[in-house]
Amino acid sequence: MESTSPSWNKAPDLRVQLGPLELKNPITVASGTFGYGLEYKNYVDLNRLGAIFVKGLTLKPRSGHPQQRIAETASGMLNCIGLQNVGIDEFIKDKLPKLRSYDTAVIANINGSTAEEYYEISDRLTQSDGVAALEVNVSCPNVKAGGMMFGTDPFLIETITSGIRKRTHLPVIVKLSPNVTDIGAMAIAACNGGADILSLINTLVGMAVDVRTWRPVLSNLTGGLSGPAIKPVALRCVYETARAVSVPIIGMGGICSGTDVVEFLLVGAHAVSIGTASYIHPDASIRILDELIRYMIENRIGHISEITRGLKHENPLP
Amino acid sequence: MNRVVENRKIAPGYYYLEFLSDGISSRAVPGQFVMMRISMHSTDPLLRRPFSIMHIPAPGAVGIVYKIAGRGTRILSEVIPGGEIDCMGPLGVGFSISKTLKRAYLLGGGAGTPPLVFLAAELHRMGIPASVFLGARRSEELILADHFRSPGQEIHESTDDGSRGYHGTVTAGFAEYLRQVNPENSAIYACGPEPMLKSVAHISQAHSIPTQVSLESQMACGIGACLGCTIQTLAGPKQICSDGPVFDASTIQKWIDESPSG
Repeated sequence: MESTSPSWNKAPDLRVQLGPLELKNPITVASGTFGYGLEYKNYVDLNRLGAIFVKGLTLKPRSGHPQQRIAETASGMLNCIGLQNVGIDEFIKDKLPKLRSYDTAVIANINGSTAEEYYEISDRLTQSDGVAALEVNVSCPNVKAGGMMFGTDPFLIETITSGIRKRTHLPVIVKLSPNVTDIGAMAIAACNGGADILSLINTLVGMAVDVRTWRPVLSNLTGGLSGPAIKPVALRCVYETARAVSVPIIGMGGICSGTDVVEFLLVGAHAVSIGTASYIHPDASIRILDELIRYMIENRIGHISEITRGLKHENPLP
Repeated sequence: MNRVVENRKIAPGYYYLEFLSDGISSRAVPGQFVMMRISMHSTDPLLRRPFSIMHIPAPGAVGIVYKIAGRGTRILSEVIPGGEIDCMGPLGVGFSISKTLKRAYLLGGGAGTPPLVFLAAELHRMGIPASVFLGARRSEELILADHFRSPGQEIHESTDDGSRGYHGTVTAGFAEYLRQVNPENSAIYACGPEPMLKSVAHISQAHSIPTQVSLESQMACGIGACLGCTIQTLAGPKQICSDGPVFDASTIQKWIDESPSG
């Protein structure tokens, strides 16, 4: 691979500018897979991460769904956690002060069962110190009210995004669901609402069945599929979104290696999130970062942005 | 990576596996577990599997006993000595033992017996006598009884089909036993299937004996992040992997809700 960069013999430049949000590198950890970050502090140098997306937050604490909540599938897993979280008050009081001591961007994933709940959480976090951006979760497949119900309707995506946009100075990231016919239309709706950044994909709705009991394996009947099994779908979704809108994209879905990251960047992502891989190896994100750096050195790529949208095809990304 | 030094069948469906790990061997306490990756170069099976530590057979070594429950454990049973697995641990919070304890009652049901071997060894080291109650469906599944033969440890066996020991469940046998003894200054440690643990919780409540249970669950991460193994307790939702797997039986919400005494 040829590169026009004159700086290939120096350490590659990994900094990414996502609209108003600058990250030290494109490797982040996905909401819901990394707790509140602190769970991983004995395994990962959190300071090396581009950003930590914390577990999805709601106004009040939630205890989530009953057991069984996870099921392994071929090269993947289903979960129906049900947004178990400590609630916004406890997060601000207990988790955020501890997270502030790390040199990484802390991004809060926010959830509501009504638009007003999204706005209230947004206000609380905007007034708090130490949140770098808000990720608006309109794509959780495991809650009855809100979640994916909002994220599969372009009108609701635009309404909620613009409502939050008007109330906060923080960068607004909208997390999109893959469980739609046209993800590009959802991306356009989020951008019309004022989204600065899009993150995708959330999990794919799936099911597992127990042949001994003839019952569904998961207590909530369905769950969200993640892991290497969904990477091809995620790549296609990022590509289609990058064709539809020009805002920066944080791509995710089954990333397990440095070259997986390169694939997501080529189809249009500016940064990525590591999810299920952190369950198998708690330090997967750091290993993937090191593999990405090695790929850039080997291929004489001086700046990470040289890869983004680089897919060679007769329908190139704009 | 951890070298496997032993992996052999010990009963129908049950295997003993021993592997090398200085870190796990030197730091583990009874009740803790490991997360084991089985297929080293494949994404299927994807997730690690949790196994409680059965004993530390020698410095640097760790022993577990597992039951074939599905595809993952079947693949694990095919690993030959000299091969490698990838083990993370020790994880979780183990059993706590009061130095003033006069007697410990250990109750193991089927595949739940292994962590009690480690616990019995620690009780023996501390000089605390133990009465061990092991139960299984049938005598062939009454595993590990030979590992509870230290001086000061008595063993009571039971089988559901009556093929060995007391004819009935381990908890029924234990409830009968309790009527003949004074359980003052004693504690119960139990590990096994959930209906058994619930029954133990209700027995211990009736006799006011402090009881610790080791719970099981599907787990993805093993370190408190994925929230796949949540159990509701009096103190709110807790993670079996990182807050447990050992819990005070009197704090488990659903057992309180189903308690015969309300």
